[in-house]
Amino acid sequence: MTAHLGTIAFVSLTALTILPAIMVVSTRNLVHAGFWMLPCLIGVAGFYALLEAHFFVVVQILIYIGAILVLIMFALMLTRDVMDPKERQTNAMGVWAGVICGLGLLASAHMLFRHPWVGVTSHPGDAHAQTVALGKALVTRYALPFEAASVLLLAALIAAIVIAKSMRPPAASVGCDGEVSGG
Amino acid sequence: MTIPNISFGPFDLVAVAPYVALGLMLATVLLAVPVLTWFERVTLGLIHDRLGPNRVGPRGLLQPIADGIKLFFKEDILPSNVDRRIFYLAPAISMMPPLVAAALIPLGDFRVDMGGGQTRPLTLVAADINVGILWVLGLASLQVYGLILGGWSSNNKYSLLGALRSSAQAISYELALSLGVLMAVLMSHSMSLVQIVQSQTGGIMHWNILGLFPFGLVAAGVYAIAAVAETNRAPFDLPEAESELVAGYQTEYSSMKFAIFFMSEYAAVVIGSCVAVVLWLGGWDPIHPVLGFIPGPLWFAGKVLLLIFAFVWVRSTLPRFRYDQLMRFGWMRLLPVALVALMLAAAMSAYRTDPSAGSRIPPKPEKPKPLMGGTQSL
Repeated sequence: MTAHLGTIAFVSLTALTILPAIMVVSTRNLVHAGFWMLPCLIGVAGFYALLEAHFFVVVQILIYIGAILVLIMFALMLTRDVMDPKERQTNAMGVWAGVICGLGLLASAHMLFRHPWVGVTSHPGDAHAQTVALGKALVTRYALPFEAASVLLLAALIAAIVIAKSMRPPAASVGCDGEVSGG
Repeated sequence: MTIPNISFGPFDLVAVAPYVALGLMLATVLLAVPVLTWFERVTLGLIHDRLGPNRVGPRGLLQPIADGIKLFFKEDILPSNVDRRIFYLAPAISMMPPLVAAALIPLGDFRVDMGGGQTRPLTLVAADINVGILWVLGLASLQVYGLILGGWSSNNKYSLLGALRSSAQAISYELALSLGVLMAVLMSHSMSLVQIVQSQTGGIMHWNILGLFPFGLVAAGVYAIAAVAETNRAPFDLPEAESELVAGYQTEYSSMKFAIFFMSEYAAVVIGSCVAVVLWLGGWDPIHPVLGFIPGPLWFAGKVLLLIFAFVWVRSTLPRFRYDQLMRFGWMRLLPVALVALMLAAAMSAYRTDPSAGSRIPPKPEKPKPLMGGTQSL
């Protein structure tokens, strides 16, 4: 019975993730595309919940939905022509990108089907133990990758500041059509 | 305190408690709007040395009901160029997070007399989640979607500016909010709201606000500032900013859709105060164990009311930030203070649990532990 419920949950979560994902890439309206990412990311959080990774459920909501998507929306709302239906949705490399992605999908599907999967029925421990283990792992065994990721993010941060600084006009001429200064 | 077990048909008190807690919290959050609008206007009147609402009913108490009826019967205008679906969805989305967060707030701790000298612990909470405080943070970060969606879909430049401001503000102050919360987690060694409260039992000296002195105070201050910013209340009400942006993100909203935005703001204030009480003011813990005869939920409600008063007090006292001041304060004052305080508090906490870690005396050699404990897996 529980396995049955698990399957139902899995299928509905898959639908919740994939259908909005299709909407993200197919809708003509950029801001709508951003909003469609919301159910998509919630679906991913649902997958973590299904795997009993409680900490990741919350982190997924906190980071991806609460911060990253808000930032994306912020950027989209500053974009011009967000709802132009005449705008092309693909660029010249679309076909090649599709071919490469399709090949990648086939390859990973091949690997997934060949892999000798072991069914696991045990539970990964409660959220507190998981969180403690994750925290310890991040500063011991995985300290180097963790720090490397931090350095990468720091570089991105500095790059963003550099770009923002160089884009600033020399005189005080900001303030035309809906532009906000500062930030 | 020990209470007798009351049975509700086939269910005893322990089984019913989560529903009682949920019902209490939902009723509080939903009823907060009429009560708080009255409370806010009376308090503002008091602070501004004027009368406040005093026409409808005794002491103006029926004013919120009159306001509610007025809003309900107003025409619900749908501007012709709005993005209709999102325009309808936005108020609902802004109302959802505080209602969900209401399920996580613990209201009190009891012992139930099961008869025959046996007692069982009972916590008055709808859902005690292990990572509860992270859930609250996640829900708080969802709150901003109502503003963004509403502001953008209105197809109005004032609304859009309000939405932009709110998204930038939410991202900026969420960091400080999380760091403040993290310090409470550091002090209580748990992310469950119930355990955070339980770790503060024993009167005001055990509360987190005085824990790891002075970092508890700093953290509570950071949390308080960030919470006011997250709820978009004055002096952080830039998304609304009626003197600059007409009404900001809610310019195009009318009737009940406007009222729901209004409700969600007050609901967020209530939830923010509840979480602050849980994190810093010991939840249902009496100020001194001597006063333990007063039931925990009453203590809780009293502290929450005190914080809500503080919300109103701040609103009536401080002028609104300018946008650049807001950003500068958030990123260059609040965040560094929170980061440094967190690091020092962590060092202090580590030193207290293991004094040898901070001294020059090498710690006693201990058996090398396996990194992940062998059987555990992530």
